[in-house]
Amino acid sequence: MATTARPNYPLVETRELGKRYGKAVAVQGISMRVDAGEVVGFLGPNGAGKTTVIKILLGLTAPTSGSGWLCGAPLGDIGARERVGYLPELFRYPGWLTAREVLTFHCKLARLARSTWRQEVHEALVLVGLAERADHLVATFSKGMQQRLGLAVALLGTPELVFLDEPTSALDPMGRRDVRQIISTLKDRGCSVFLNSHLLTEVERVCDRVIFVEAGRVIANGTTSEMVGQPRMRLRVSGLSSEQRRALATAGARGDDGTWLTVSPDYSQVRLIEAIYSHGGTVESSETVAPTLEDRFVELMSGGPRA
Amino acid sequence: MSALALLTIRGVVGRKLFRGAALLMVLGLVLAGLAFSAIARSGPDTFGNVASILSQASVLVTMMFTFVLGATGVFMTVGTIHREIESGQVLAVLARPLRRSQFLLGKWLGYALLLAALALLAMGLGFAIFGLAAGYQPAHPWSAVAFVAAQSIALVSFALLLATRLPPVVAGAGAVATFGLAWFVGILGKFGQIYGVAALQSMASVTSYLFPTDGLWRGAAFNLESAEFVAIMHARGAEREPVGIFFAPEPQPILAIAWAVAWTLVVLGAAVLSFRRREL
Repeated sequence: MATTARPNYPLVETRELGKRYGKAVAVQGISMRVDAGEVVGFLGPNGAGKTTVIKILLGLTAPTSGSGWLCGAPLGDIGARERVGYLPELFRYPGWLTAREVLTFHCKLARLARSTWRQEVHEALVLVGLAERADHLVATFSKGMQQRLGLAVALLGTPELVFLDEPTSALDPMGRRDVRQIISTLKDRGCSVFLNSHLLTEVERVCDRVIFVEAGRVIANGTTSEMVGQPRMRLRVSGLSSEQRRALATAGARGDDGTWLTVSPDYSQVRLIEAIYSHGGTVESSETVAPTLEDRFVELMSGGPRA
Repeated sequence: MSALALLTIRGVVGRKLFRGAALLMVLGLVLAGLAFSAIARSGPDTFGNVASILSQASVLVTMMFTFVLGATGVFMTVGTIHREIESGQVLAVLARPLRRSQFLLGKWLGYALLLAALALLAMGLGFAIFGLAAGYQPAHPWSAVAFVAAQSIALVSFALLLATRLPPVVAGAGAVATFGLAWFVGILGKFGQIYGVAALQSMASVTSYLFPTDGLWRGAAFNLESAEFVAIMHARGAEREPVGIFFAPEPQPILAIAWAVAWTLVVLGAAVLSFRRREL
């Protein structure tokens, strides 16, 4: 697989993109941008509209409002799809074809030069670890192997951008590691990746930037390190009623799981400790916690501050 | 489009439903050959004019064949379209630089080629069997094949339209039931002609515009009838007698054939429009 020539336009750009199904609103006012070479995580709870956004970007469904561009062309442009790869959340391929035949069929659909098909298919199969099963029927594949095949399909033709919708949902830990490796390889080759996954540890490891969506809206968008944030101090507190603990929010308590109070980065921990003691409570211990993307996700989905 | 057509043909040929239908057709043809042989051996003492009986029998056998061909085509079509949409297979394909119309027309082309090939093979085999068993040859065998293929393609186009919106069982049953209804109304029209009931004739006429498969069937029947049989029936004035219910006394008018082709194209266009607007 060749190195992708880095384009000088955003690979994805949307402005106030919206989608309604009758009265139900799936996507409302999504504005975002994915630049060349970026690996972007697209995160949100079930039903947040992530798959719908991907379908809109790929022209599989039409937006009901807003506008957007894929690889520099307006959404729905057929030609732009020559430069993208896609692994759908629902991945199924004809069981009566071999893996090689599925890939050859997609080489044809992707309008690749016939002379390159053999090499493209071989490289994709090697990359996803299916080279030895190239001539086996898809019907004999496990779900994980079918997902690997779907990944191979998405990688054909040196795409500028690859959409991966839950690419590790059927994979074991080894398979997930392989996908991380493949995403890194794509990034090294200059290919952008738009990754929709619920496995936040995976996203945290491979993504340059993350976009959080909830109820069809972007609620946070930033680099992975910005989103994860700085290490935080938390205090193990006893001797306070629920009401008293809630009142500590004004003194800098950002999160409370009933035992531990997390200190808001905008406040001094000394001030919070003073407030705890003034309410009659006791600080039993303290520790510094390195936050994870999962923490940030839970915080955002629980109504925490949005960036 | 050609890649999708070839993939469709390959997918259909590998299915059990197709193999079962093919086996049923061959079995039916062998049985029909035995019956033809028996009729020919019995001679005029039993059946009067043997050529006339064989001609009617060939029309009857072909009628059964067209039903099996049409129903097989319908259920293959609606099943495949539904399965590919529901399983998500269609998503990976349509994310390629391919229009939805190309996808659907590629599928249709696959079915149309397959049905035409099946009609040619099965009817060719049938004609060979009838010739060997009873020395019977239809008047215009290849025209009959063309009418049968056109009828099946028209029916499958209609099934494809329904399948873009309806669940497979509803789409399949709807297409086959409409096909049967059109045939039945055609028979009623013949009764109207024989007994002079204008309302039945009008009903058949309107139906032939709305769903022209019966007209195509009549075209096939005329081409299957031997010249001798047609002459005998004309001499008896059979088109005015109950015995002439399945008798096709004249070739299909060019306008009726053109309408059937135009109808198929319109239905296909509607299927493309419907599929383009469908949420995936």
